[in-house]
Parts: sequence; structure tokens; C-alpha cells
Amino acid sequence: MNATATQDQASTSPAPARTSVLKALNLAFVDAMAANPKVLLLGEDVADPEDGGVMGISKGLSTRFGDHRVRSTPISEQAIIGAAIGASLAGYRPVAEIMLMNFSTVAMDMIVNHAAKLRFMSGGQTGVPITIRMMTGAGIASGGQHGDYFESWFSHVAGLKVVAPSTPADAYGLLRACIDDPDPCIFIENILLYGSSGPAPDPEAKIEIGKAAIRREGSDLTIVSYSRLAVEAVTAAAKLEREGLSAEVIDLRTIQPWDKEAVLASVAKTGRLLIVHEAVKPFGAGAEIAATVAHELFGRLKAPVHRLGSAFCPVPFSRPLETAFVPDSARIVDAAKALCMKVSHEH
Amino acid sequence: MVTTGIVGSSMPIANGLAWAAQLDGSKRVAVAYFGDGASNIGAFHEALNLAAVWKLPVVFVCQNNRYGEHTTYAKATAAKCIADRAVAYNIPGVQVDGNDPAAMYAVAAEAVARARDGEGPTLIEAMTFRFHGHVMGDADAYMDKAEKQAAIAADPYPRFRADLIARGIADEAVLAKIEQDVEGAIDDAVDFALAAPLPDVAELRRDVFADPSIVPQESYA
Repeated sequence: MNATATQDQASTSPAPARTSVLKALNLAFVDAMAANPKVLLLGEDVADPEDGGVMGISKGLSTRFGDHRVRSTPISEQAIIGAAIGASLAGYRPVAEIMLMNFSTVAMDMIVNHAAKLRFMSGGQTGVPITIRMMTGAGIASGGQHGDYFESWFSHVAGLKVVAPSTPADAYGLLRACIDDPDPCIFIENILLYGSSGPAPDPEAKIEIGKAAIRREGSDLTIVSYSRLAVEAVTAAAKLEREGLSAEVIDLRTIQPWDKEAVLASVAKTGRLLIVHEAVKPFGAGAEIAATVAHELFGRLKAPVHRLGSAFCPVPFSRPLETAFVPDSARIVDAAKALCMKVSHEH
Repeated sequence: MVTTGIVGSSMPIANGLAWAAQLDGSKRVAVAYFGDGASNIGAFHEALNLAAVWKLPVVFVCQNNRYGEHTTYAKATAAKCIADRAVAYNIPGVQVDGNDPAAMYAVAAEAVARARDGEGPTLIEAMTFRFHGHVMGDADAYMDKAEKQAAIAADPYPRFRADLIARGIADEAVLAKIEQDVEGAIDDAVDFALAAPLPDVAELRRDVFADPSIVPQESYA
């Protein structure tokens, strides 16, 4: 059985040199649940009789840790988040899987009015240490109700933390960090990244929520992104280098609280900022970053801050429309070149 | 688990408290309170279904006061009674005179025992009335005057008080002392609250996250 294979691999063999996001997430659960008996997982189809999650991320967990700690639920998002909140108030560390980010809209009352606010409204008498996992992303023709990025909705609510890893090591480290965190965390997984390969996580290396990663150093412009488009940004930076432009790529990893220091330090050096995200551009996280950078570095910018986001329409089903909807490395290259051209015109 | 500022929120969260009790192997039971209006919210149905499927030690107590905000039960609720809704979740549903403490106790004791024995949730519909509008100071013009007068005339408090004396459980002096103590405690709490200083604006930064340094200072401007 796959479930057993996953277990054995996690418990007996040394970690492989490279792994996938999917395997890294499974390993994060294995390690977190083994380390702390208070860690729970609930969500639709997460237990082994239901295939260990629709993508297989939780395979082996209910077999190893018991179906009382890893529980498949009815299709009831409010009940899922409510149960997670209640168990957390009683000392547990539940991870709730909301399958797709679009389904979180059904549970917004529980997330926004309760998980986010109980610490403040109780005067600090309780916190809500839950992690809410959800996957999303355009690119697999899943249509308008399965692929939205709503990270700016959650980032706009005081009391929630929002993370969106792009590598296996970050997926592992940030899931562990979210489970250990005293506050509610929204954990965003990109569907296309599950199979992507990267260096295996070091379980001892903690990844702090709120700390960006500099994926590539550069001097002509800064590209800030997160989730799958951070990978596109790295690809774009390699292409730009061949065209003589040196791009510094920052993968935020956490959107709320975002790593302002890392972004400001980079833009202070390069003087140009391109922000790239898969969420639609208007009112996206890029607007907050752009406003902050414009405010803090006014006068030091060599060009106006530029944003790339998805088109302001629902995620389209049709292949050519979906391709045109999300920015890719080619569009990042074009935008970066245009941004750098602006300077040369001025000189 | 009492209701929060959102009608219908107590049931899903009570399930989590009950799940924790189940995991702990303790005999604790979660009790969720809500009104008849809250039984029309989706969360009620999701929560009762989950509690039944997981056999959670939880008691759902609906206080049916015949109005949801300003709208009568008949205009808002298709079910003949709230207790009937338990049928859909294959759990016991019991309607009781919520203004009769002895009847309420008996029903609650049975529901709690069921929960402790691992037999899962119970839905209790406690029939009652409200003597005031939904919002403090609202003129309650939407309430039937005769119905309201009849309910006030049947106020459970003086009725229960007279019953305790008639059955020889307590005498006038004992009850007067309890009432005096309770009123004194309330007065003390009100005096304490009124005498307390108003909060410092720095509290805007407190308890948003466990670590107050997470949110930069300028975000509070």
C-alpha cells in the first residue's frame, strides 16, 4: 500500500536528496503528528479509506496516527472550520483541509469572524492555533470556481497569517511553522506545484513565517512574487540574464505578514520593482507592496513600480483563454525589460 | 458555547470542543445555545450532521422564543417545530417547556447522559418567549401585544419562586437572601466596570496576533 510505503520512508530511510511538494507536505504531517499528539487533521476525504486526500497528501496518516486524529468529514466547510476552532480552544492543533481555495468562501464566517478575531475579542484569553490548507491555481482547465487566488482577502483580515510556499522545502518548513504557530494560518498550495521537484527539506531547519527567500541575486531590478509565479519569475530572471539584465528575485513565501525589510532592501539597491502574482491585479497583494515601496523609497525609484497579475475576470476554462489569463515567464521578461527601458529613456 | 455576534455560530465550534473531549477521553460535554432563528442558518445543519456522524458529546439547545430578529417563527421557519429537524440527522429531538426548570433539567440530564455514554448529540427545543425586542430599546411593534402580555403574565421566575415555597423547598427569607446576593453581585460588577479606566489606545495593538511586533506600527495609524 502507498500509505505504508510513505510511512516507512518517513520513519526508517534517510531523507532523499530531492523530493516533491506533495511528498514534502506528507512528511511535514508525519513529523508534526509524531512530534505532537495534539496535532489533528480534518477535511473532506483526508483519511486513508477515502484515499488520503483528493491529491493523496495525507496518505498513510490515518493508518499511522488513528482515525480519531485524522478524520474525513462531510462536505461541510463551516462545520470543518468550526470543529477546528473548537478543538483548538481546547488545546489541540488542528489542520483543516478545505480542498480548494474557492470552497473557503463557504466557511468565511468561521474563518473571518471567529478564527481571526477570538484572540482580540477575548482580550487575549484564548488564541485559535489552527492551520487551514487549501489548494488552487489556474492551468489545469478547472474552470471559474476551482482556481482563484484569494490571498488578499485573507491578508486584509487582522488576525490571520497567510503563507504560499513554492518549493518542497518551504512547503515542509512552513506547514510545520503554521502548525506550531499560536495564530490561525491560511496555507495556500498551488496544484501545478505538487509534482515539482526540489531539494528535500531539512527537518531541523525552521522556516519562519514572514521571512522571504531571495531566489536569485541581481542589480537591475527586483521581482517580487510568491507561490507558482515565483518559479516563473526565476525562469524569467534566467532569460533576462541572457539579454543582459540582472534581476533579483524575491519569493515572499508569506503574504501576511510580508517581509517588508527584504523587499525594501532589495529595491533600495536595484531602484526598480516588478510585482507578480496569480491573483487578479486590481486590489491584489501587489497593490499593498507597491504602495509601501512607493512611500518608503520615493525619490530612490528609477522607474514606477509595476504590477503583473491575472486578468480581471473569472478563471477561464478554455485553454487559450486560461493561458492568456495568468502571467508567465515570457510576460515577466517583457515587463522587466519595459521597466528597465524606462530608465534608459530618462538618461 | 454561547452564540457570538454571528447568529448560528455556536454549533460548529461546540462540535470542536466536543471532539476535543472525545479525543481526551474525558466525560466533558459541550452545550451549544442558539435561538429558533439560528436553526435556519446553514451552519446549524452542517453542525448537527457532523455531530451525529461523529457521535460527538454535544447537546444542542435551541431557545425558541418565537421571533428571529423581528420576524415571527411562522413566517421564517417551515418546520412544525425545531425538534422535528433532529429527524433529518437521526438524533433525538425533544421539545420542552423552557420556562419550567424541572422539566428542562430532566431533558438536559438525559441528553448529557447520552452524550457521556458515547451515543452522540441531542437537539433540545426549549419553548420560551422574550419580554423585549431583538435590539435594546426597540419598540417591538412587530410583536403581538396580547401574546406578549400573556407571556409576561406567565413569567417563569415568579412562578418557580411560588412553586419552591409551595413545595416547601425554600422559604421566603431564603429566597429573599438569594435575590439580595445576586442583585448585590450584579451591582458590584456594574460599579466595577463603571469605575474602571477606559482602555488605552495602545490596546489596538494587543491581541491581534500573539506577537504584537508582527504588525508594523504604521498599520494602526
